[in-house]
Amino acid sequence: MAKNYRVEISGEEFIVKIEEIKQNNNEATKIAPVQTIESGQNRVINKKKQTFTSGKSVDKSGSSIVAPMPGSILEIKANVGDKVAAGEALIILEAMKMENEVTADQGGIIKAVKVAVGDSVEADDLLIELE
Amino acid sequence: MEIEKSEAKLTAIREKIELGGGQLRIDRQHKKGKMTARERINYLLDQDSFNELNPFIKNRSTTLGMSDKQVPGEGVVAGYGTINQRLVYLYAQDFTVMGGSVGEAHAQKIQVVMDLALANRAPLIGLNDSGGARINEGIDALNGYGEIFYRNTKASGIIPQISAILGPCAGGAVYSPAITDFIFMVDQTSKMFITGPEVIKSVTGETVSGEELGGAATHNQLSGVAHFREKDEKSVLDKIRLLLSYLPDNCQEKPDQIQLKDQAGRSTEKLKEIVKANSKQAYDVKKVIEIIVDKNSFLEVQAEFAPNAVIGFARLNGRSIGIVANQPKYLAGCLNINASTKLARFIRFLDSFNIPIISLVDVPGYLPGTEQELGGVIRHGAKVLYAYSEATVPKITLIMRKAYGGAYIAMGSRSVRADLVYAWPIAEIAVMGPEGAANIIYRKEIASVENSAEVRQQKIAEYKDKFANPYLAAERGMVNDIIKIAATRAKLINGLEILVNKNLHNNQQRHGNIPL
Repeated sequence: MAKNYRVEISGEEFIVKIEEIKQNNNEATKIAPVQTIESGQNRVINKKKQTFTSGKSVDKSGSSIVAPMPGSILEIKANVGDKVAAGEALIILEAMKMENEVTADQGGIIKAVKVAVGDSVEADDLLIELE
Repeated sequence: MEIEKSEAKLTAIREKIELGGGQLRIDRQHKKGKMTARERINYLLDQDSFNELNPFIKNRSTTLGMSDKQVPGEGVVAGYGTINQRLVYLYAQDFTVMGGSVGEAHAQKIQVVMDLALANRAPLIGLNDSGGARINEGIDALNGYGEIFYRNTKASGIIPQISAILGPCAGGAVYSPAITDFIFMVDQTSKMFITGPEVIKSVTGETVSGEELGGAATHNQLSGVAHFREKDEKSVLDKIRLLLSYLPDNCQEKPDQIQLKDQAGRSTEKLKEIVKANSKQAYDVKKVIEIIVDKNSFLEVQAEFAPNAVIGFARLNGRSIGIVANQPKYLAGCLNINASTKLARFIRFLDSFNIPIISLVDVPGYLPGTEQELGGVIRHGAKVLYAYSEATVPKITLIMRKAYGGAYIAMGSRSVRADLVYAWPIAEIAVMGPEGAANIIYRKEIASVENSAEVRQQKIAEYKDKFANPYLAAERGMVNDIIKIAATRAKLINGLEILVNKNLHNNQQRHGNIPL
């Protein structure tokens, strides 16, 4: 069915998987998923934001505060433009029978609040952007 | 005269060996902020207590330029000495000699002290600083590793085994520390990985730094491989001495009871300022531990990995204990995969070495989510149940606040054979939380009325009042007593006293089959 092809774009090599789409009169045409596999040279380690609490330099450009676990937003303690200190509670997340404080991992200014009170969030959902 | 001459010759040869890879390489080691193998040993042990074994051993390799190569001490210093007057066996790899690489003779020196440690039932300490297998010696080097792994395994649970990673530790070398009980690492200096950044880059194309891949922060925070992270070598060696003070020499002995530096009957009234009756308010369980145990006696283990669970050594009335606690401050103190493996391995260590287990429970349940289920929380969570059930040392459990569902059973309940279970009056011991329970039990009733939100709150309050308390569990004998918060320390100390002669043994199967 699907075949792999090597494609070169501006000197960079990619491997793409191309699948032939069979037209079916009774069905609307579905676009087959095209999977792009990056070439070996360009792939970098892809992982979730890792929070090294110390022993590693903190990213100076800002940070994304994400939900530590699934739950619902009970209270938002920070507004856009507020200056906050590291460790300050920004959001109260009700989860696992607890009102959990979600705190700033570094000092900064609140750039965006991505959730509202009452929202249900999943683990790692973006809550607040800090700069 | 002849004798003097012979002894002068001996001194000369010994001095040459003791210089290892020579002054130039020693200076290089110092420049990196590292001590030499001998400096480390002398710092770790009681003064002048070190006795070296087999300094003269030489490799017999003749291939790949080894025949006329000088390898003083074979890249490792091994022997025995004392720490606080207690015998320990140890070895320290010497990076100045062929990068501390492991060849047949190097491995043999380590094996000798391992055999002595096991036969004489004294702790074993390994100070690792090695580039890996000595390629020139081929499969003899590999076989050397295998012989070490085998001995680590045979000694496991009989003598405490402690590893410090004070430089690189790559490839097969990582598995000796991994089999031992505790791994110490130094920030920026220690590196542990199976395949290094270069190999990863050439095989998978991933770019990753050595520090990110196998540094102290990585292994203490993310992988859970290591147990202690320190800022420098001396702090590591100091902490090894401290850790040993909580441990007995072997599985047949009990840890020393030291002179009490605190009052046994001291009131723990102060706990009321930390733990709120409203169970939705989080707190730092480490503050609770500090108040309960003997002053300044808490030594936390794996402080950075799975912070939703807290483990460590401490003392109660001068007796060494192991603390196993939930941490409401992180992830509400729930159990998840990492917390489960952290707790279970520590419980098994305590049980191996006759150290009583004090469990401090405030657990809402298991963390929900696909990541957990697909990651195998069933088999990892099972380890906690297995470890508690298997442990025959004295086990005292204090239910401070929440103890819900399966997590309540897992956290050292009566059914997994805690000897004594105490609960505070604010404890909530139930099959599930009031919100969830009310939603399920009164679903129809809530849906059928107009003021459903109001009725729902009412039902939650009713459930909480009826079921979220310690009395039902106490009525069934699952809690031995409900105690006042101020009496916590006195009760735990008293409990330890009455369990001090506990003598219970497991069945003699070949060995159990813990879910791994």
